[in-house]
Amino acid sequence: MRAALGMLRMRFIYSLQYRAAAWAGVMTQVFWGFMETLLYKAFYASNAAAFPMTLPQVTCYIWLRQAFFAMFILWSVDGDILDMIINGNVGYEIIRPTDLYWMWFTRNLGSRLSKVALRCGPVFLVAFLLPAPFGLSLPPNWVTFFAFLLSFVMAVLLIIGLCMWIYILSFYTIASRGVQSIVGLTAEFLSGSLLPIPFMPEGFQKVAYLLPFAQTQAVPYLMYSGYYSGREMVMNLGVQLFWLIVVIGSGHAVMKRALLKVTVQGG
Amino acid sequence: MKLYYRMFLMHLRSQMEYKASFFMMSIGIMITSLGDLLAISFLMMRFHTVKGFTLPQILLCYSVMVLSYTFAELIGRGFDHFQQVLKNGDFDRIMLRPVRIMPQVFLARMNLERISKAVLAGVVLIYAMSRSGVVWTMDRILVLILMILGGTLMFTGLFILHAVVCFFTLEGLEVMNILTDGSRSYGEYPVSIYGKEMLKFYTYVIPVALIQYYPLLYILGRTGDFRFGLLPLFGALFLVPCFFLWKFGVRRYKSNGS
Repeated sequence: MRAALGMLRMRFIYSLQYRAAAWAGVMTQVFWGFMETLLYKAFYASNAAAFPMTLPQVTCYIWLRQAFFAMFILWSVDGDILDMIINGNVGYEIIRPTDLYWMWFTRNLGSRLSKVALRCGPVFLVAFLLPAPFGLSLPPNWVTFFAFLLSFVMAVLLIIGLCMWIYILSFYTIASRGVQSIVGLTAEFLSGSLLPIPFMPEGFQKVAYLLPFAQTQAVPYLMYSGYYSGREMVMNLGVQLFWLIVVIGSGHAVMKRALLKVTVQGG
Repeated sequence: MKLYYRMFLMHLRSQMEYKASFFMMSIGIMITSLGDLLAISFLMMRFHTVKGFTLPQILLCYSVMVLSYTFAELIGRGFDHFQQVLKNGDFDRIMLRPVRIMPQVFLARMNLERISKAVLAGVVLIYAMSRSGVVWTMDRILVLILMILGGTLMFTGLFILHAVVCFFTLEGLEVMNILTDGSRSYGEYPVSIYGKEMLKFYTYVIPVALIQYYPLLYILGRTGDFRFGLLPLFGALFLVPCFFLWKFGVRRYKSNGS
């Protein structure tokens, strides 16, 4: 546990070095968020009746997504780890007397947290200052806020769990680019990052909610604005927890298996 | 032009050495570009029209933008690596060669796999042309070609601008993606839907609207004024200031060694 915390701190500080990049990122995120709100506003003006959620709910969704953008990109994997697996340096890592799964897990958590820590503050500030239909509003009540927090924490752990699967799979195969982009696009689309899930056709939505990808972005953001209430809220938290346990549990087990079989050739 | 042709052949030959990988990459890039298309289709299926534009009309705009962006990438994607070129001192070497600097930088990389995006956009364009309810007279087809041509030149200008910034910062700036990627991705819809202020921004600052919104109005018969159809030519003029900025940057350039 202490080793893991140390790892977390190290990666966090390491990534904090890139402050200029963070400012550039903030500006980019604000601009994209702004344009996206304008886009949905245009759709709202054209046909308000066809809107599956309220306009403030959509803008909340957009701004939360922009604020936490760096946290939930599935493919922002740690290049060093992939290199280690390919060039065999992973051997050194295996020797260490800690559980490698959790070490890499916290390592990724740290670098993602630091990226977001620098960026989300200013984005939130801008989003809160924007006038009502454009900006970010507070969640309707305390219950939704806590549900959001809980769901957000689970989403963070889940995305890293999925990210770990990318490392694990690269022990077995170096996935060809074609397969990678099919999986990548499916994951991205189903996480609701190109289009909020309520805007998708019915059948699509059902599939999206059952898969783990939506749980990493769409669900916490929808939770925040009070899109879910009562039973639906609990149900969604339950599905999230289910996937969290499945993804991390299976990842941990399979990685142990993979590490037993690793053969590092000479060197 | 001859230089471009030779560079093109060079890239083609080198990439054809790995045919399987080339096709996998092509398919991959095509799939990745499907995301936006899917999002637009889903939104339009739900709302039917946005600010008076129907799905085929939006797709017309989408395909023009993707086509011109992809063509511009074939001319100028080398700017992507320009910051490395500056950082490791390769730029000094480039300056020493008795060939013009710009083509060396911009044609240094050419990912021919990206053509697959153009293929997809071409298919979408044909679909959109047949469904948009436009009577395709000669002048309208001419305007459409002008749109793609003007767009290609404008995006090339934006790529140059991106590279020029590297002269001053030595670091590729993520913010610049707003100009390049952002212009493409927001230009997939006629920019008028973002409201009056954004339309002004995209008319006078970055001439995206000159390439898609105004000529589209002519094609769709919303205005009879043929001058609207000629606006992409003005949009292409965007390349001129970018070109001079590049010259300025090259003159100001001080090697930072390696």
